[in-house]
Amino acid sequence: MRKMINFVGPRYIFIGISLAAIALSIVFILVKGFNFGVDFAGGTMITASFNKPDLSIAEVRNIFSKADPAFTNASIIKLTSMTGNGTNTKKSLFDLTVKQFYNASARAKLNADVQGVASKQGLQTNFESFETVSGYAAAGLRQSAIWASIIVMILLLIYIAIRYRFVFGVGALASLAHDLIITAGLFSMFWITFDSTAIAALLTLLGYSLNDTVVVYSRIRENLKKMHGKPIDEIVNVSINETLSRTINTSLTTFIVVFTLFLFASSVLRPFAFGMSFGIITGTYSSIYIASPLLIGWLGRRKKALAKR
Amino acid sequence: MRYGRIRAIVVIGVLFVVMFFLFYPMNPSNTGLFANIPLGLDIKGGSLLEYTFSGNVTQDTANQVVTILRRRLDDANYTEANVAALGNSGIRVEIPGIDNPQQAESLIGQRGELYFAQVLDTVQSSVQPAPKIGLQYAGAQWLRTSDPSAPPNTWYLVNKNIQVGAGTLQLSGSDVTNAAAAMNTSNGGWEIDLSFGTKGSQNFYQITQALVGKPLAIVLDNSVLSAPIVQQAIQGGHAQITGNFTYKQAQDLAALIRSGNLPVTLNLTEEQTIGPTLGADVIRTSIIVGLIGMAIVLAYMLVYYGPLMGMVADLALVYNAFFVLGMLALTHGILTLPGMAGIILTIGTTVDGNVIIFERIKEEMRTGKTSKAAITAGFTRSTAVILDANITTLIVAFVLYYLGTGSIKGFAVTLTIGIIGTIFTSLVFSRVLMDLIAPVVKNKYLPLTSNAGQVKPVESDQKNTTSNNKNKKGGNQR
Repeated sequence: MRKMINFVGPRYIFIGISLAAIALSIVFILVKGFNFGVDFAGGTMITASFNKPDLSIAEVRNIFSKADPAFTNASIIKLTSMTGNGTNTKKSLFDLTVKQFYNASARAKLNADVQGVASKQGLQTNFESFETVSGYAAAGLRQSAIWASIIVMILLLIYIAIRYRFVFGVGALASLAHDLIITAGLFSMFWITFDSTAIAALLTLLGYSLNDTVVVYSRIRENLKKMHGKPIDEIVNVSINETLSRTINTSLTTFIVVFTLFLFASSVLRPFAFGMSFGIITGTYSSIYIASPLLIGWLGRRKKALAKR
Repeated sequence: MRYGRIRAIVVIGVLFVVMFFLFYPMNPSNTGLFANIPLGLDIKGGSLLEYTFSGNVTQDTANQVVTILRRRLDDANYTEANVAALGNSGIRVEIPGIDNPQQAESLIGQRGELYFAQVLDTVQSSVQPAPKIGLQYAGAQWLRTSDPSAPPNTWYLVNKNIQVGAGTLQLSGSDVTNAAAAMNTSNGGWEIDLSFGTKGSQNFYQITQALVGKPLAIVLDNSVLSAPIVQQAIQGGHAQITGNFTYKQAQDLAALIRSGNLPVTLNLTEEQTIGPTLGADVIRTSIIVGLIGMAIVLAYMLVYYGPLMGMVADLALVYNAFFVLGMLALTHGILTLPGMAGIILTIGTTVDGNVIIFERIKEEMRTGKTSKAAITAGFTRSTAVILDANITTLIVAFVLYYLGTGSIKGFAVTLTIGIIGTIFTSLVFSRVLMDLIAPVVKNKYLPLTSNAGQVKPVESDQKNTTSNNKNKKGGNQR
């Protein structure tokens, strides 16, 4: 017989760890908040390139704030440099974020002023990307993100309700909430930009995490019939073990691809890749250690009630 | 066996369709490896502009704005521009291939409201002059000029109700049937030639007759383009706007007048511009990331499941990758950066499908089935789980498609196609390959090799002992 790992034995320890992680995440979200992207907070994000590869953030801030004082407090990130089209010259890339909204003429003025200041220092600069969102549009984007999240959750709830008995539904829901809160907490903790792609990652993550849970639950349902008369915690543990190599293989391969994305991808996809990478870890953990062990208490009680009758 | 053949034909058919749409040169001007897949602005570079309407606007008006803007942008040579209404609250304009949207923006942001007006007074002032009191000034307003040939800070007191005899006449952009940029033969530079319809020509004649020796102002969006002195009554319905324009200015103004005036004012709320260099750089790294991730996963599957089943999983991955790209080309789904992420995620879901099946087959083998029976049972039993597991992600993809904005929509599209592809590759493509290699796959869990005949392997489940030889003799019994 195959070796069985006892997942459900120390379940109270893992549930405890998870509760602590959830509490910590909530504290971070409430106290530190999120690093909202310009699409949610309004403002402007510029990706500027300079023809000097070893330019520092301080020098870039100096150039921009001379052109426009609003950039004195800009948040600036240095990106991996890029090679221009058809040339071999390395260019350094910076992401600059400010709270202001720039319309076309303001933008053109800013562009000209920055180029003017830079050329005095012998530098060539270019706005490789420019995103500006007014407060009004940001409110709209926030609203549609909130709606998307609410609708996804309602639909997943309906799905769970149709597909499973009440107990399973509660277990699946608990593990979804677990993954969502912890991943959101990580966004706050590591101050990763929280924008539309981050929301897309969180919602996709819900689908994935539920997928993991669904596979284990299907097995538990199957084994409840097959192993009739065995204690509940044994049935659950056998089911987790039987689906373990599937869970690990799937999660590992998906993690490999999204983590590669996180390590090398451009700044646009970073929030997404971050959310997916860490979401897959918590999703896998929760479907093994949280979703299934949670069932034991309920299913056990039901069984006792049935036996008494 | 019959089902097996149908499956094989479907797999080859789908591959053929997908490859056709992916590689057949649909657009001869656009060459390149995946030229048939339309790219989003965040990849190929360009500008996205979003506007809201000021005030409440009906759906009809919103559609009218879209039509007018399309005509305007088309006229000004932004032929690839895409204009769409955002419900009845605003519009979104996407213009690929430009990295400075200022000119396009000035074209979109203008109302394009043109009218001719009588000039009652002219003043040079740095601030707006005080309104004049008197019956003859009713309805008149002070407007600044944008004509560089006029003295700086010239203000005109204009009235669009032009006094002709005892009554008044109006002449506006809606009377103009055509506007075109033309060379100014007398003064150099460029001018705009206007043509009027029948009624417009008549009015223009009467107005010019009444205003001989006096200036006639041509007003666009509350700015006086020029205010030439009428030399004589003009017949034939043609007029020129001279204002020392450059060719581009004259062309854009002509486009603006031709397309008619917007019924509402537009306010810019969002702009996103990505230079072509950055887009190219980003897609290059994304492709490299995708390939690296895929290579690691391919190797992992080969190592974990051995050369035979590993190869099936790997081929399934490659098949699904082509499926997703081909479907994007077929459906004209636009590939955005988050869309690339969706494709990369598909690697994970495809592996998932195969892993579920392989694990099930292994388990069936452990119960003592022949490899062939185990493969059949493995696929039958994992169908429900695979469908179940993918539906959850599909739900998310649908919501993101309907509620997400531009680039997130792209993610939803590739995610959806990827999931459909995963279900197809797992249940049909892998099945064909597994059936093909079934005779070679050894059941290592059997105590002795099956051809020794000492242990009779269980052909199927205990419950289905009646259909024991189903898998040997094929599907004729069904």
